[in-house]
Amino acid sequence: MIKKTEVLIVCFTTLVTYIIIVFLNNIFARYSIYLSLDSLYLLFPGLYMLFWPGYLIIILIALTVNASIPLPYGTLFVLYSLGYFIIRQFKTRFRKENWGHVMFIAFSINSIIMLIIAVIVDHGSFFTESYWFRFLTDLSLSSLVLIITAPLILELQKLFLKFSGLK
Amino acid sequence: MVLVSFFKISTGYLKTGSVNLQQTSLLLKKLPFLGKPLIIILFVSFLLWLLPTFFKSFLRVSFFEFQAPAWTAISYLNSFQDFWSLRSRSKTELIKAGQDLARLNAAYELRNQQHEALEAEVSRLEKLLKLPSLPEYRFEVARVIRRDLNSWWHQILIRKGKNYGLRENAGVVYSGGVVGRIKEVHQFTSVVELVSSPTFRVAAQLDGDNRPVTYYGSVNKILTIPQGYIKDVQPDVLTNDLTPRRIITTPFGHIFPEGLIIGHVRILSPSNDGLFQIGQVELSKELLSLKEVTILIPIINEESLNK
Repeated sequence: MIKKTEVLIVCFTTLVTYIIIVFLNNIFARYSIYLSLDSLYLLFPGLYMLFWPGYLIIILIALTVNASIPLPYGTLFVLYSLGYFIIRQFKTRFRKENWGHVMFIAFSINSIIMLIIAVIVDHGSFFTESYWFRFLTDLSLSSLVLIITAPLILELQKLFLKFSGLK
Repeated sequence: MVLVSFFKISTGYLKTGSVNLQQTSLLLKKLPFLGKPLIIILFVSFLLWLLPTFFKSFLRVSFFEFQAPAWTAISYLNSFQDFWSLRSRSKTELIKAGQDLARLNAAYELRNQQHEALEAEVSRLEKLLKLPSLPEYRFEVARVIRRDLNSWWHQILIRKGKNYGLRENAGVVYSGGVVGRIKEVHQFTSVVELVSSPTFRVAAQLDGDNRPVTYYGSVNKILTIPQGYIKDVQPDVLTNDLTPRRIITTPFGHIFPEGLIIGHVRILSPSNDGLFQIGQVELSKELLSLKEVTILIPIINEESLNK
């Protein structure tokens, strides 16, 4: 019962995070800026949950996000799974309460996911300067927002669990 | 690093000599913490890859429709917010805005009369010369509820779908010209691929020259206006940096009527083969902050589909 509640709360907060990111991108679109903050969805399930409940949330969020973007369906599932797997390795090697560590993990995984997407969806612009320039600016801005928000999102999710009476 | 260490450990296990079933189960139990999650993830990814396409499509549509109400609700909340922000305006401001609208209405009324007279003239000439009639469209206005503009794709989500009879590949326009075309139609929402998207391509022509050119969307830089480019421009076509030439739609693609503005081109340069010219097209900045768009639904197409 406790597990089910935990999964539901984390799933809900992850979906809320996704909606906030889309909302931010709606605002930044007028400046041609796009924030890709995929690793935010993976942090809490990866660092604080057991393998299977965490993975279930990752599967759901990957399928939800992938449904509304023109990437081959299942691509984000594989990428998020890879990110989740990397976080699981960091889980026993890093201090979860250290914000610097959390920021580093979030930054690394986000960069890997963005780079793989950039290679997959190049539309023939792989060897053009403007494509990689745009990619690097998007990556830099996303990383900046990510390292600021990653610990906050984690704290928010922990707060939700605390309010629900779960440890 | 992680993968390398996993394979090193795995090969270490494999070098332990002959393996029987008992040893295999022991091996699985002793698999390092690195191996188990990776094997599970690889296995689940493989299963997903094996899934038939129709099942994947079904899954995609289901997940899309599942989240669509959230975007629609946010859009309604935005409209509500706009409404209340307008309510805070003073009466004097509203009266002034009303007067401006009345002036505009009078001007449009006059244009409507001219338009009707021209339409009657066109139909008279069509009958006289036995020409096929020009394609006609039904207009459907829809609000934008989501924008995804990055280096990989440019698309917007609108608040109308199959419930309003929208169809894939229908043209989408706004007061400044072409917005793009409908890429996906869902029950209550539709996805529009913008004219600035790197995958967008349409037949076009330069204003005052009816020879066709091809327009392509391109990767856009941040903090700049959206851009695209044109190819296959005849070598005798000239442009001026001070007075840019308009790029307009042609009826060839059966998506847009003739004469809608796509963008402007300032400089043309010879293409790699030297036979044609290419040029960068400046699109409208409003494309990045659209709130409302109009979908052009061909009437002939609708009638034939209804039959």
